[in-house]
Amino acid sequence: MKLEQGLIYIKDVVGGSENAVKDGVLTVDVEGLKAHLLEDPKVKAVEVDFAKPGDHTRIVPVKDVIEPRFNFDRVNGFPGMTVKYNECGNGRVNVLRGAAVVTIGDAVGFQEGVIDMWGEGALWTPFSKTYNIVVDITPIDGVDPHEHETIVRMAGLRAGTYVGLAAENATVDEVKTWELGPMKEEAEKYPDLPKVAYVQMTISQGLLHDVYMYGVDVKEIIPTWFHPNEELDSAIVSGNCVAACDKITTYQHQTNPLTEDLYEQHGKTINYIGNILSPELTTLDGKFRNCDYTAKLCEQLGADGVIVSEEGYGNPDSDLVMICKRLETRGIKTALVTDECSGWDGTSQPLTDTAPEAVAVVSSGNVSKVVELEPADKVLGNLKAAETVAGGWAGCVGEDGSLKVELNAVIGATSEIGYHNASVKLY
Amino acid sequence: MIVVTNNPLLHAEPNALFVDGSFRDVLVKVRDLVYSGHELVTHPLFASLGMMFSPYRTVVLGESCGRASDFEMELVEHAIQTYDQATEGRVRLHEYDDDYAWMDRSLYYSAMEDQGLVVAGK
Repeated sequence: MKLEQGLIYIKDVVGGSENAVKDGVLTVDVEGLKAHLLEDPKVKAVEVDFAKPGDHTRIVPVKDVIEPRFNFDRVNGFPGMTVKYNECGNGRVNVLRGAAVVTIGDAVGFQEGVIDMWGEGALWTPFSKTYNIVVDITPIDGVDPHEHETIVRMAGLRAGTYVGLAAENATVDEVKTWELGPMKEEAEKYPDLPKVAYVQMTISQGLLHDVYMYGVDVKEIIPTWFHPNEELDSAIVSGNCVAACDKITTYQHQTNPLTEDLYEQHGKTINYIGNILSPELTTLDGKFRNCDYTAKLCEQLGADGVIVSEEGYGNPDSDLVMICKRLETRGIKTALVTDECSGWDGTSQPLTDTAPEAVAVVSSGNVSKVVELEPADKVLGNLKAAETVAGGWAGCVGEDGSLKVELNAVIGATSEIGYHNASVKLY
Repeated sequence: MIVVTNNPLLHAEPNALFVDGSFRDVLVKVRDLVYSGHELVTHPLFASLGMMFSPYRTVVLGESCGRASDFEMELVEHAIQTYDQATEGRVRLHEYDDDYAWMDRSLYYSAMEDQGLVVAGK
């Protein structure tokens, strides 16, 4: 497969009467966007606002983040979700890099997901650096949380595609090409390099805890191999919005840095043999089945090494450790990427489960770390959600509107695929 | 099948073993059952920290087979430790208890569908 991404670097966003880019300034047809989203009869109202890096703006509660794009060589949109099925991963796509559609709204009352565009909060979320088109979607009365989540998810994706129309005729700043041939061909090209696969675990458990591939609810599938380009070309969509710090937003799927880094090493230090989607189920039977199946797939593909990334915290830790154990038992070297819940002082046991086989573990941060966020000049979304952002625990909101929260409330703060700002310092 | 729950929405659920107590009390009851030979059908914890702050939890177990599984005993002990650690030292608000109850029930239904079981009255 060969995917060509034309990157258009966005340096500002303004409202206007068309979707266009000129000299890095993205113009969004705000009224057109609202009208487009209101075509869904289940959407009652749409508000659109902008949040730019440095603005004293807080966005809460965030549902999803989507990168606006325009596909030239397949049906434009999210195949299986907003448009009919088309294979992703080939052809040309233009990308508004630096812009993001952010959807907000509370399907249930206790939801988290903060993006601060300035100050301490901005240090922790990668989406403080994007020019955000914030879309607040109000569904019609009487919908239950399942419908509410679907309406907001679909509106966000459609907004991403609508804003992405600006990329069609824009001047491209840089072209990136992602190309990986069939495994047999790549193995012949690099016979001496170790074969490495990437296992991507995704939360797959029900309402506000789901992920979709080509529109298929992945809790319904057994683990499957897929070409890395498919994810980089919008085949995977997030449907989970409770694990703010370590949820993989649709944007982070579209730009998965583990995939991009593996590509970078392909032909140099490794032979990258593709990705495996491994759903994290809630039943023990399901966990055993999927962990066995994931390890079996890696073995049958001839992997010498595997990188495994987690999504979420709690019961997915069991999957992470079980996959590791099964891979290492088969003689496949395994590295894990996960965040940790190590308590406010960082000294507690970081994962729910452990195994002696887990000898190569990369931590993407401590979700329990407490940060203090100054009061915002402007709140986009639901101020009430900001007041209960620590997940329903009292004492986190100052009288002045400041917040004292754990990183678990901040979108993407401890991304388990590495799309975040936290880093490691050696002493 | 035993449905260990403190969720008032599942009080009348067939096979419900209702725990008049907290999320942690549910975990402790689950641990006791695992130690007496019941196998875990669903994992004791949710998949997100947001739900760790739920006042309600529903966990499904099988009938007792008479012998406790080492793996499951370890898993449920770790789950309790994780829960304690994640919720330590905080004062709960009750404003969204109804939503948490709704979510817990919804995720319980999804788990049952994964198992190929139909939940009556859903």
